[in-house]
Amino acid sequence: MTNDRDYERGIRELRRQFDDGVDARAVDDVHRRLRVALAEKRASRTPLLVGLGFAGVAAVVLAVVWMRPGQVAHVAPPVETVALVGWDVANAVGTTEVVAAGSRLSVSKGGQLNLAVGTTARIAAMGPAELSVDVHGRVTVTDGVAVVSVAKQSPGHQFAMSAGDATIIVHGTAFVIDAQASVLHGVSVSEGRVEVREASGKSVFLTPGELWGVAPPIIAMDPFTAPAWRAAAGERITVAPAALEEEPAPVRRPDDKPRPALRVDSFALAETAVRRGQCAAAAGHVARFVESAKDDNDAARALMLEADCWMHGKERARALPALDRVANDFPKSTRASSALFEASKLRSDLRMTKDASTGFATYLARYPSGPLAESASFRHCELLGELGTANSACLETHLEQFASGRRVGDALLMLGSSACEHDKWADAERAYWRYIETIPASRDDVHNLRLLLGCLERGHVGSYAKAQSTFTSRHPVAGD
Amino acid sequence: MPTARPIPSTPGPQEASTTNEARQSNDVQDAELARLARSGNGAAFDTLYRRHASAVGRRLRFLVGAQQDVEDVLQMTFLEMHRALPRYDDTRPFAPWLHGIAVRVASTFLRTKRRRWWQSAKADVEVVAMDATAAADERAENVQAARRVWQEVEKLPVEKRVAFTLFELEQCTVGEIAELTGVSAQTAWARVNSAREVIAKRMAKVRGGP
Repeated sequence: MTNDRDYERGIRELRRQFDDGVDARAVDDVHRRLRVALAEKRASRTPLLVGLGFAGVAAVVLAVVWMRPGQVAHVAPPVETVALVGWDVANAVGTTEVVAAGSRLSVSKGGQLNLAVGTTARIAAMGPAELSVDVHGRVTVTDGVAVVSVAKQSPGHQFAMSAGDATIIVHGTAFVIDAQASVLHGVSVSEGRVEVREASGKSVFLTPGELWGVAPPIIAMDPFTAPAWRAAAGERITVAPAALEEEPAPVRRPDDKPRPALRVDSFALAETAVRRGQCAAAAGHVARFVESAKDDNDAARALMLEADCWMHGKERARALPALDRVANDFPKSTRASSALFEASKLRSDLRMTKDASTGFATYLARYPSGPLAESASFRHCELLGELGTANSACLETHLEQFASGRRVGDALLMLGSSACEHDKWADAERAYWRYIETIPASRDDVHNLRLLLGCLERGHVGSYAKAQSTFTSRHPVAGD
Repeated sequence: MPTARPIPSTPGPQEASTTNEARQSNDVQDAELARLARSGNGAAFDTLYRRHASAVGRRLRFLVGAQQDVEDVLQMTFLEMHRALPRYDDTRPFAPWLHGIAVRVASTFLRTKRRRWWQSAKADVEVVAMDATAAADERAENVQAARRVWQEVEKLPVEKRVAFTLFELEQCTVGEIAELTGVSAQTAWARVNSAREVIAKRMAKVRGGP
């Protein structure tokens, strides 16, 4: 009964103490730290992304609305959200307009034209490009490259658009088209199934990874994440089947045009799958890519992409084979050392302590001056301690090799704690004084020294009183 | 001692207090903000933070305990959210997605902290506070009991600890725990039950009980 009561009282008290959550000042403090961290992250982005940022500034935002006779199109104005967050000029310039049927649209070089056909399809045309919207609301890309994403259609419905001289019919997919001078040059499909129908009635069906004609350029970003899409949200326009009943214009394919060919860009497909969190699909594409990768670095890059996908999902252990492959099968690649480190770290997280410890030791043997050597050394010692193995020799070696490293304080604390665990009071005492001599006073210092002091007190060491007074003079407020 | 019980199906207190309409409206605004933040709009990210940081912080307090740890995990959660935004499906409510991230980040943090056994004594001092008035009245005993429970909570495997704290301390339903931790309701309930039994048994042992 007493224990039941204790349990209930304990739970009630914990609820009471924790119910306040975090105080407002701490929330603000974290917010400030987050801003700094995100600013640093932005600053470290590649020049490619900076370039794309400029392209975004030049973007013009338009929304295409297709209306059935007698039906009123409703375009939801983005008032609430805009009022809430402000209009970020640096990231989303331009206006949102409803384009009348029969319009012709052009995008200049470096620009991006975003067309929302209701909630059915999104078309991002990369400048320079020419597009038109016919009286039925059908979009034609006459010139340039466009990325298209179409929502899955209900049975009996199809979405069709034209590209150059061909008609493209889709059932819920994502693809890139390239048209030049009113002639379709190429289509590549990343998702779903696409039918390219020539005027002769001949159809070619494309599945993910397949390409028709010449390869359209690979778009290095997801154009649909652009702020401009904000404006298209909330529209409720459907594409009428009537628009699909027209006969497509006859295809005029010059003799010198390349014939439809198939090619799989597995890396791009893997990237798409990773973006969608479909790690198993990404793994399949990566495996195909690795088979024909031009060098070790390329193969390692793909395997790390797969590993990253698993590591950020719920099945983190599935990242291990990819990481191990990079570390062991492609040891000369630039990513081999980080793969070995990450695999060891992951094993440690998954409580595969012994394997993790071996992994860090292997890292140190292979890359003694590697960028992660200090961390690997520290973690190796830490895991030895966790396994119950004496780790003082490991820590002494660490302190010698990384004497000016950032983990010296932690290593000394671990040295003291380990000694304390095994009732080696004299060793704990030495660790305390080494800590005092080596580490300058800091906020963490208070916790670390208190921990060691507690140990010295338990061991009744001779210098406890002196250690206590040193702590008090070093941290007058905390020592009270 | 708490004993095994069938899976409870009653909704949590928070569910009852929020109307569907208000929640749907918030979901729409969150989805818009997430879309903007995904494309690099700092103001949208800030607004998402302001809207959700307190609720996430409260949940983290139950999960990890010490205030200083809560701040660290809160920061890690929003950094991870920023990283994961491209994968967010904006047709689904934002808050459960974010809280799922918070639970995952907190679990990883707790695993890391366990690995840092040599720093463990730090947290014991801070998690359950004994305030000035507590020593003088009955609350001192409550605080002692809370410390004993918390000591046992910290010894649990992370999965059980998370399920237990969400159920017993934050008083989530089993369904909510299952959603947040990505397991079935049966698994969530098994974890809660197992943790409750282990803690009660250990507390009994410490006090020399049966």
